[in-house]
Amino acid sequence: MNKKERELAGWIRAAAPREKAPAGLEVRIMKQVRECEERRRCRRAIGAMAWVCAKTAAAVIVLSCVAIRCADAPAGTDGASFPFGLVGAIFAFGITCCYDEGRQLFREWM
Amino acid sequence: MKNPTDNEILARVARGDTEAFGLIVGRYADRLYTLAVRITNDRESAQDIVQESFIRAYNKLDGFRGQCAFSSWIFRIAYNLSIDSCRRRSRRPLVRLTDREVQTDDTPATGGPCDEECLGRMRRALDRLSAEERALVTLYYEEERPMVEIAAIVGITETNAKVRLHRVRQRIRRYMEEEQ
Repeated sequence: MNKKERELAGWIRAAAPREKAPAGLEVRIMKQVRECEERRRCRRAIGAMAWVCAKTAAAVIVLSCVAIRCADAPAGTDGASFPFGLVGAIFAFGITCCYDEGRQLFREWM
Repeated sequence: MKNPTDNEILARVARGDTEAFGLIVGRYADRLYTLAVRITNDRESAQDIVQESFIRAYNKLDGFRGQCAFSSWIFRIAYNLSIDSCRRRSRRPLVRLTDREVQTDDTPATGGPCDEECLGRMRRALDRLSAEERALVTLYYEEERPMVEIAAIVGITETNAKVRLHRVRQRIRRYMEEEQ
């Protein structure tokens, strides 16, 4: 920057000094940011719930098909008791594994 | 950590510390507001633009890869929103800030002596520039950003930015001389 240039720069800075953002603007922005975060968490929780539901539904459909086939089994075999026992075991295992995560998701969602 | 860098703050935000974003807001609110006021000449719109800029930045933080400085990135968002606002408003009459509305703080003039009348002429000269030209002036003289960053913010090449700024300087001098 030469002298003329520096002089012009000084005049510009003096003529148009930095503005101060109005009081309360930062608070308003942060309030909106928190709302955005809240919505994002909600969306994430709903997505996770939907995924769990989809997987459960798929498992139930598969096991139902197996159960129907076993119900038609000849006399003297286990019939439907085995697949239903399997469903119960999977359900108990799922609850044990996902209890904490599910509770956290539910809390975030609410 | 007394004065964390932007990237350190952003890392905290990415880890889920939403409140850390307040540091970013505090750091850039005045600067973005200044840019938006200069471009739009309207304080109401400038407030909305600043607000929208921060919200967009927050929502798109995952997409910020750190290829440029965060400040350049957020300035670019504010610049684009300001220019869009100007284009939308161009169908309506533009309410220009009068000399009396221009808020001044205690920033000392670093150049040669320039009395109130001279500053008034300078303000009117700046007012006659286009929105893009005012943005260039603000980013170069007030923000003192390097030319390469200005070019990135405005979305032109560095050479083009230099040429435009040179023309703007010539125009400001001409406008000031016309009023003498």
